[in-house]
Amino acid sequence: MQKTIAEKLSILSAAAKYDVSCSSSGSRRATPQGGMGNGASMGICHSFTEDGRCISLLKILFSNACRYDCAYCVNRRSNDVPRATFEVDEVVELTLGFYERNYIEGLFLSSGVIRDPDSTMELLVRVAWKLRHVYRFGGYIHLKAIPGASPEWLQRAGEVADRLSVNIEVPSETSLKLLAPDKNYASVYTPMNYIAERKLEYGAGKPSRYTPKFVPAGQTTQMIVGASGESDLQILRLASGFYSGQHLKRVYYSGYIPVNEDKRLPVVTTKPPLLREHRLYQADWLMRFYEFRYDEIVDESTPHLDERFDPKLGWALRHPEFFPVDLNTADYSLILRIPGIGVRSARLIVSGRRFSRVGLDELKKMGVALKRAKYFIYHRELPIGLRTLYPEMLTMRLLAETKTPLQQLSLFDTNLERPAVPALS
Amino acid sequence: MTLLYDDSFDGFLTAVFEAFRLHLPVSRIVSESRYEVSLFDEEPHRIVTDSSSASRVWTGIVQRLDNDRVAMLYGSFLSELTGIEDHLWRYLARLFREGGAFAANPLAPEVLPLLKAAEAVKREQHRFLGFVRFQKTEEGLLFAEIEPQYDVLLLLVGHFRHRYPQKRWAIFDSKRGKGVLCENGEVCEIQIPDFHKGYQGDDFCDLWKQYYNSVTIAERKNLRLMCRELPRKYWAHLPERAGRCPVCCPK
Repeated sequence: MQKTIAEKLSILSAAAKYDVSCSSSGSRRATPQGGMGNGASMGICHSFTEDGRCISLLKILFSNACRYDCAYCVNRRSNDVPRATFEVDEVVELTLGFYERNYIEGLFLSSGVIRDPDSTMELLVRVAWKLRHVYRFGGYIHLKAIPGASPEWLQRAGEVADRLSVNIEVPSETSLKLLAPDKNYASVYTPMNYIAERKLEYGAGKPSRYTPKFVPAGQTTQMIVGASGESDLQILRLASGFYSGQHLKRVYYSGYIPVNEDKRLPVVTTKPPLLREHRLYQADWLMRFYEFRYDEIVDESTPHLDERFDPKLGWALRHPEFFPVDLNTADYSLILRIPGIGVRSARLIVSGRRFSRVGLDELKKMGVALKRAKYFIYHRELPIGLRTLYPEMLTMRLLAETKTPLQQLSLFDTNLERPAVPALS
Repeated sequence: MTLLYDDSFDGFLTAVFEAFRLHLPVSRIVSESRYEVSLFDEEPHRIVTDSSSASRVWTGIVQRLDNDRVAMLYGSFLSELTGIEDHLWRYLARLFREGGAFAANPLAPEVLPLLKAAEAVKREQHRFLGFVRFQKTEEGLLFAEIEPQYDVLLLLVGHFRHRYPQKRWAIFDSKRGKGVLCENGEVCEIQIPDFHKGYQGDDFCDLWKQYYNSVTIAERKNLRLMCRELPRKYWAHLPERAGRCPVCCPK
C-alpha cells in the first residue's frame, strides 16, 4: 500500500525527533545564481515545539526501515512500528515548499540503514545533490553520515552538505557492543576522522572564494545519556576529545527517553534524565566558551556533576583559592569564571572599566546578575561576610536560596515544618 | 523647548539639524503621533522634514562612529520607546561636541539606554527572521503578515531579498499599517490595509502544522520554555500556534 506524503512525513518526522541536533549555524553560503536560499551563519530558529526545542531544519528520516537492531532506538528491526520510505523527489518538494514559506532554514536528513551503509548514504546524497544542483538550493543541509559508509560517499556528501554528523550514541565501546550489536566504534570513528581530515585539507593553504566548500559548518555528534552506566567524567572526556581531536563543532547530549522494553536498558517507566542532560550541556558550554578543561569540571574524585549546582558554581566551590575576584583588575578569563557572570557581562565589565571603576551601581546598570556572583567578587560596598564564607557554609546558603520556592502560607495548614511566626527569643 | 517631527528617522535627524543650526535649547524631541499635550509645556515647534539636512547629520554620524555603533543608533530609534529620542539627542549632542571616543564606554549615561533599546530591537529582528511566515497566493505572491513589538520591518528586508532573489514577496506590518513588496530584487513600500485577514493556508501549511506536532517529544513537554522562546504575542501569525489555547501557558 502506498502511503501519502502526509503520512510519510508524520511517521518519518516522529522517528527522527530523538536526534537532538537542530542548529543551522556556522555556514555562510551565498544564494546560488538563479536559485533560492542562503546560509545564515548565526543560525535561525523558526519555531519551538511544546517541549521547548527549536525547529530550525526540516528534520526527517529518509526511511525508518532499518535493518539494525539497536536496543535504544525506536526504529530497530524488532519493533512493530509503521514503516515508511520517502522518494527522493518527495523530500526535495517538501524542503523547497517549506523553505520558500520561511518555515525552515533547510533540511536535516537522516535515515535508518536500508540495505547497507553505502546504499543508504547514496540516497541521502542524491536528495542533497538534487537540491543543490537541479534546484540551485542554497539553504542549509545537514546530512547524517551513516556509520560504516565508505570514503567515496562521504566525500560526495561533504561537497553538497553544510554539516555532517556521525552519532557515537553510546559513550563507551563496551556498552555500544552490548546495546547496538551491528555497530562498533571503528564504524563511527572512521567516517568522523575522514571528514575531519578532508575538511583540514580543504581549508589548508589560502582558500579563496573559488575553493569548493567541504562541510563548511563542520561535523557534530550525539550521545545518549542515561541508557548505559557511563559517568559524566567519561562522557565529558570523550566530548573534549572530539572537540580537540576531530574538531567537532558540537557534541549533543540526549537524555535517554525509554522507548523500548529491553532488559539491557533502564525500565520503560524511567523518567528521562533531563537535569543531568542540562548539567552536561552547561559543562559543554564551559568547555567551548569559558576556557574550562574537562578535568577541571569533573575528575576521578568527583566523576559526576553535582545536580544541585551548575558546574561553574561547582568548580568555584571546589576552588576557593581563586576568589574573591576584583572586577576592576582581574583578567577577562578569570572574570569569566565567576559564577553568575556570563560572556556578555564579562565583556561589558572589561570594556566599561577602562572608563570608570566598576561598582555595584554600574553592575546593576549593566544587568549583571549578582545573586551568585556576590559571594565571589571583591567589592568594598559588599558586606565582608559574603566573601569570607567557607565553601561548606556557602553551599548551605546557596542551597537554601534555591530550594525554598515561594509559597502562599495557608491559615489552616497544620503541617508547617517551621512555625509561621518565629518564636520570640 | 519641545520639537515635534513626523515619525520618520529623517524627520528626527532634521530636528537634530535644526537644533544645532539655531542653537535651540532643546528639552524634548517627540514624534507627532506620540506627543501628548501636558499642562506645563510651552507650544511645541513642528519640524518640517528635509532630507538634505537629515543626510548631513547622518554623514556626520557615520564619519564619527563605526558601523556597529551607527547600527546601534538606528536600532534604538526603531524601538519607538517613550523618550528614546531624548536619549538619542543627548548622545548626538555629545558626539558632535567631543567626538566618538565616549561611545566605547557602555556605562556612559548617554550610551547605556540606547544600548539596551538596540539590543531589544536586535533580538526581535533576529526572531522575526524565523517567525515571518509566507503564504503563497494564487498569483504566486509570497505574503506574510507580522505584528512586531518594535518597528523591525525594514531590518528584515535585506535578509529576505538575498534569500529569495527570484520570488515576489511582501511583508506587511499590520500593527503599523505599512509593508514592503519585493519584485526581482527591487524593494518598494506598500500600504495595503486589510489585504489578507488571517492565515489562509495551503497544502504545505497543513503539512507544516502536522510536522510541528509530530516532532514534539511528549515525555519532555515543557510549555514554559516554549512560551519563553516563542512568546504568545507572536502566535497570531504563526500557523502552527495560531488558535491554540492561550491559557495553557503557565506564567
